Amino acid sequence: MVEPVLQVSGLSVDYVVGKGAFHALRNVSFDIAPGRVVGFVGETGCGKSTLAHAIPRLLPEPPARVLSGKIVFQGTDLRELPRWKLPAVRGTGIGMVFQEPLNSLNPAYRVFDQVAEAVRIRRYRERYPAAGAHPAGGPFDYSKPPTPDTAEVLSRPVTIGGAAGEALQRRPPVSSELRAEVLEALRLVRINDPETILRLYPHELSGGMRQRIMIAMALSEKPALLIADEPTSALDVTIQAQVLTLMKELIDEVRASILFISHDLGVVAETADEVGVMYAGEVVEFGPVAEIFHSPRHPYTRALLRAAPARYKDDGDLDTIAGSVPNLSKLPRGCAFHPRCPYAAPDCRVDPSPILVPVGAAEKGAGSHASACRYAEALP
Amino acid sequence: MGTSPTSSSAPPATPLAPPPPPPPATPTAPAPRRSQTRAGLGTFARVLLANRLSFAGFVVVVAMGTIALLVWVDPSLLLRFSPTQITPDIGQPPSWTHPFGTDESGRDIFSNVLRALPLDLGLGIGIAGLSLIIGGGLGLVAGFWDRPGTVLGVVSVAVLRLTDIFLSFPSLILALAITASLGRGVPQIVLAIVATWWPYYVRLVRGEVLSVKHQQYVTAARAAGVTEVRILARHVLRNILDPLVVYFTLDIGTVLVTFSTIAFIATPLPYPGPQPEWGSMIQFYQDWLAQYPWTVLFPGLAVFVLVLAFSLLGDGLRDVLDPRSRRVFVRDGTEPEPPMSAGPLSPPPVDARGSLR
Amino acid sequence: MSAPPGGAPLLEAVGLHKDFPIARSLGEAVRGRPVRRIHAVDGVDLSLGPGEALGLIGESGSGKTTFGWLAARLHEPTGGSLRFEGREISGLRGRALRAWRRNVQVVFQDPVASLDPRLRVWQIVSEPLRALTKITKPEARRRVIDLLPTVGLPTDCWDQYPHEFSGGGRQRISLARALSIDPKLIILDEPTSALDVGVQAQILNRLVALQRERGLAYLLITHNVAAVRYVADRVGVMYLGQIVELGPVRRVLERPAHPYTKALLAAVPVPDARRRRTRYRISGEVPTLIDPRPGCRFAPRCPFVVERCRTIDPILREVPGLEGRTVACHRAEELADVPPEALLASGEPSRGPTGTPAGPTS
Repeated sequence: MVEPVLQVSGLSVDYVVGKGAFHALRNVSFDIAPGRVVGFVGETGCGKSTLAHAIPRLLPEPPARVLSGKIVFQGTDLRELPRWKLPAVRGTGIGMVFQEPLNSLNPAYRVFDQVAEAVRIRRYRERYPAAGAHPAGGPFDYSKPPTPDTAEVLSRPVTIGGAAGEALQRRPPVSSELRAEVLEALRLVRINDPETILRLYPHELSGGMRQRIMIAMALSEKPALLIADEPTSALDVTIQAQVLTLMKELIDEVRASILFISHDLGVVAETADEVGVMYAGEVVEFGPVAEIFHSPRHPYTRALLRAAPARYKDDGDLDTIAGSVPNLSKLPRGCAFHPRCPYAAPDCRVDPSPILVPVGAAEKGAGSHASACRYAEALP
Repeated sequence: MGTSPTSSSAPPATPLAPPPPPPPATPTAPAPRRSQTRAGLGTFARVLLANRLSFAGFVVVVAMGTIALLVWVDPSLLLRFSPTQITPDIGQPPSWTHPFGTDESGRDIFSNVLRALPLDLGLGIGIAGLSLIIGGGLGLVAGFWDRPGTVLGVVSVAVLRLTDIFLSFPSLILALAITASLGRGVPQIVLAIVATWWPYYVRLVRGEVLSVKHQQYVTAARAAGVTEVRILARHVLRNILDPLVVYFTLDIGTVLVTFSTIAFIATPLPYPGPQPEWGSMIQFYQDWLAQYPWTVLFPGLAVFVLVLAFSLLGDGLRDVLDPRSRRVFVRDGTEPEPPMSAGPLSPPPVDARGSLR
Repeated sequence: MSAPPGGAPLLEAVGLHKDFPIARSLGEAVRGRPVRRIHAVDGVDLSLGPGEALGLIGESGSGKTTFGWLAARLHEPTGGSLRFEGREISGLRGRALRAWRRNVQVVFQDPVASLDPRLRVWQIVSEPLRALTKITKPEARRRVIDLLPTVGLPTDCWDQYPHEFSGGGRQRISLARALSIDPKLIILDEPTSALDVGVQAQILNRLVALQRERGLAYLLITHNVAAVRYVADRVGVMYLGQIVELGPVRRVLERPAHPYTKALLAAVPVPDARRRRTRYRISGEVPTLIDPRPGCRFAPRCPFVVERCRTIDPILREVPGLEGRTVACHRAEELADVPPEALLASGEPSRGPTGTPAGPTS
């Protein structure tokens, strides 16, 4: 049994606005094993983006409020850390790639400066704990020991004066070594002419190129977990296909776990090993990608898969999902999906739905298939 | 075919080419679903009350306006003394008879300050209003018809360059120069301030027009066949009106300060005289500041209170005027960062049925 | 060029062209540098029959939206001819243009930005009616209330503001506005791109139902293959301002002939975990539309490129064996039946994701 990189359990997040509260996440639990890709899929407002921001604790609080739950990353519960220690987790521990490729890069700096900053952060953190432990080898040698464990970094005492002064003296200069690492990072994301790209500003790049740079920045900090929030949604299909292919190839090279958020079932089907389906702030189904897409055990997953239009008009009407996403401040009693569910039974309207019970022949534990529908086994 | 559970009064529409049966004299519109953003006095009051400061500004502006009106109609309703009347109380501090005290000759400061209120308030609103009309009109044209190569496009460029020229002068000095060359008097100062004031409105209005006219609903209106002038009035003007009203309200305060400053330097109206004015009063009493501080304090305070009130009111208006921000107050909830697609219009009943068969 | 089956065309574009000049800096103007132009639509021949749904599909920069705006006369063409029911409309202006607008209405992509936030539903929906016909306010309101159910909105929402609706609801308002004047053609500019799958299916169903009920013609402009598949009768594939393939929707989507069409269709992610495999990918990115070089526009990214592709412009032509279809490719005959995945086995270059980085786009 491998220790998971990330264990989220019972995570609930509200947005408090005025007197009301939107229940953006309700009791979300899942694990990510090392080297696995976990995809979350759902409609607008299902909480998937909130989840992506809640894990590295990037949610603005207020209006957001984390009510309960644990976010255990490499053995440390991020919720118990004081705020000032969080930057040490982000970047080298948990990297992020966002949707908007234009807003996520600073328009005032050249590509080199932005990637170099990421490289510097990692080098600083690698160097600081045990000087000489990682003698400078070839950059981007992933056979090297990974970045120090978050728990270890956090437990290290910070002493002003001696240690900091020493670190300052050892601060890497803008060296050819740094430049080499930046070039390596750009080559990693298959940029053919990195020397030219380095000198450009973000607005001089196309959307696909910007997203590659974002991925290069995130990966050059060698995170243990990469959170990709709709990384290809703003791109054209042929470019999206290129970026997805790239990410799939990098998964094997980089050995990071990936949390992949998308509204596009197709994108998730192509990238993820395990898939979580989210609805109204809950994970309603979680399981291996093949099972989710071929034997879904939750009515919502089924409806979502059927609604993906793939027929001609002579073949009859498209399937739709009845009604619309519920208002997250006034969730219905019982199962949140029951007003739209064609199989809703009387107890679905009253009793809250169970939390992810294993279904099918799957054994318990990571990778097993679970559904939040009480009639998961009985579904036709 | 579309039917809706609530459509009992309206038959499901058939292909609509010829208008369906002759309309009844009064259209039988189904009772509208109560819109939560109805612009009513109730909402207005609630929003103003939600923010105490802007409410205070609102109260002060209304109160000052009422007093100004009363003084303008008949000063003897509120004031015991005429502005030039010499009383035997010389250099008195504030008292019941003389709430703001008296000056070195025994003139009642309260009467003078209040007599100046209609003039100063009126000038503030008037100067800002004139600038709004001149600058706003030019800005509207310059922003909306800026296609190069057309007559209006040339006009638009000319307006902008003229605006730049005016903006490059220090406005206070320009106003003083104009006053100096035109001679003393209120109309001269008004002219001087308006001459330096309108370019800001050109900038503001043009900027707003430029941002609104590229909105998709303007293109949509054009595609629907709406004429350009009507687009300007119905879509563009209406959508820039709110920032304009807010800016205008805040601007009244700025104009008041500027007017008082110029009056302090140029004294358009002789003081003491039948029509007092705050800037001139402060100018006149500055020598007595140490001896009778209230003679300077109260006209200054009047300017301060009025300017502050307009600023607070302007900030409050910003919240009232936008229907989207209005909803924030009314519904006790705005949409958190991932937009919720949960309108009141939940399930479109038509398509709802056919799903998940 | 393939004519729509049966009858005179409703809308016909012949060699339609639209370019936008790029503003020169003062220095460039002084040095006499010529004005560069973006050729957004570069010689498009297309016709659309009454009651027909034509899909235009392509990526950003393909010129599909510009073509839609030209057809709606929101842009002025810079070349070629555009006819509506046989009448030239590219020169129409003022009153004549407005009178023509009752034939063609537009549904825009952005459900938020395309509705004036200050107006109520009935005011928005009745806008074309009130602009183009003499109709009283109460009459207009009544017409709107009759119209709302046909787009799937409840009748009692006529007095609400657009921001009170979800994205799908707003798109229904937009559709009602287009329908209110009873046009012959509706131009749908990415009508479902901003919507979730479930809602998207609702809108697509409604569009098809309305087309059947009212005999409407659609020009559907989108990057969404699924929407085109369901709504369109014929589909045109655009790349860099030109149509590269045009034909009945089933045949184009199931047996794409042009290399770009193949690439585009292969790139669409499919919600099917079993089909996960290394697929055919084209390299590089969409180049700019500024003063393009001669030859096939797709040549720099095409895995099947040969010498003449780089020098001679391919024309949109009928290809033997592909009935009812036109393709703009020199090698259409050889390539029509080649599944792109075959290339992977044959070891031709196809896998390396980026080619040259498309050059800086400024």
